[in-house]
Amino acid sequence: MIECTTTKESGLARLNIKGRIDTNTAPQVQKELDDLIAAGEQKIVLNLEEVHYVSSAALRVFLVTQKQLKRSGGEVILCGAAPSVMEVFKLSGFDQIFRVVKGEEGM
Amino acid sequence: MNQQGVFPAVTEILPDIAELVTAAARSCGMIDAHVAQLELAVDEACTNIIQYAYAGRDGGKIEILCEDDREDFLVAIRDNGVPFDQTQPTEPDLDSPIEERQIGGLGRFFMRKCVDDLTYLRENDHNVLILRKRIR
Repeated sequence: MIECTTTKESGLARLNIKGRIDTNTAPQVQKELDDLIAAGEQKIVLNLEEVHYVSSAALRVFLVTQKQLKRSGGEVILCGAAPSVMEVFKLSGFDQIFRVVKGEEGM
Repeated sequence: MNQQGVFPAVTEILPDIAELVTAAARSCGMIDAHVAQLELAVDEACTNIIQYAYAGRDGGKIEILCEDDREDFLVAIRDNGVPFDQTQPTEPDLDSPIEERQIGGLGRFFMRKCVDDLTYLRENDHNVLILRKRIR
């Protein structure tokens, strides 16, 4: 189970995700991101404060979206990741190819 | 203490498998950081079984058996899909810039990184994957 909500603050689209992002739920996150891009969003903040688990399926979605947005000068920013989620970003080198911020201050 | 379960091979049950394994690991005193790594390795292994060993075939089952021997925690994952050795290494590209970064291979890479030992057996038409993780 996963819940996604989108908000927009100071020109930044924000996708708030709650739950576990695995092979089963990653397609839902992909769809939410695709919808934001289709609506013209270029900078998307993924709020991960309420995500307690990510697998490689989540990373695949983040990477596909980051590649797509970078081509048009946009970006995905990963925000509020818990230590266990951050660990997976570090293991995969994702902390090098994404802007990873703790909270609002890094944006 | 042994804990086991049999699950249908569909992605919807991945959280249930995670719950079984993490509860069993915690009950034998595994520290949280190790539990999180074990959860990731088991999730990636079961995802691969669903996607590759069963390749969308209906009716497949995944059997999970957890045991501990004081120092190590073992998870045996059994399926009767096509022969599939997940211990074979993949070489995901972790250092290249975003434009060149490839998408595949991360699941098996995580499995290797997150447990201390991975063993594969083909036994009576079943794949058996054994993940070993130190409790502390």
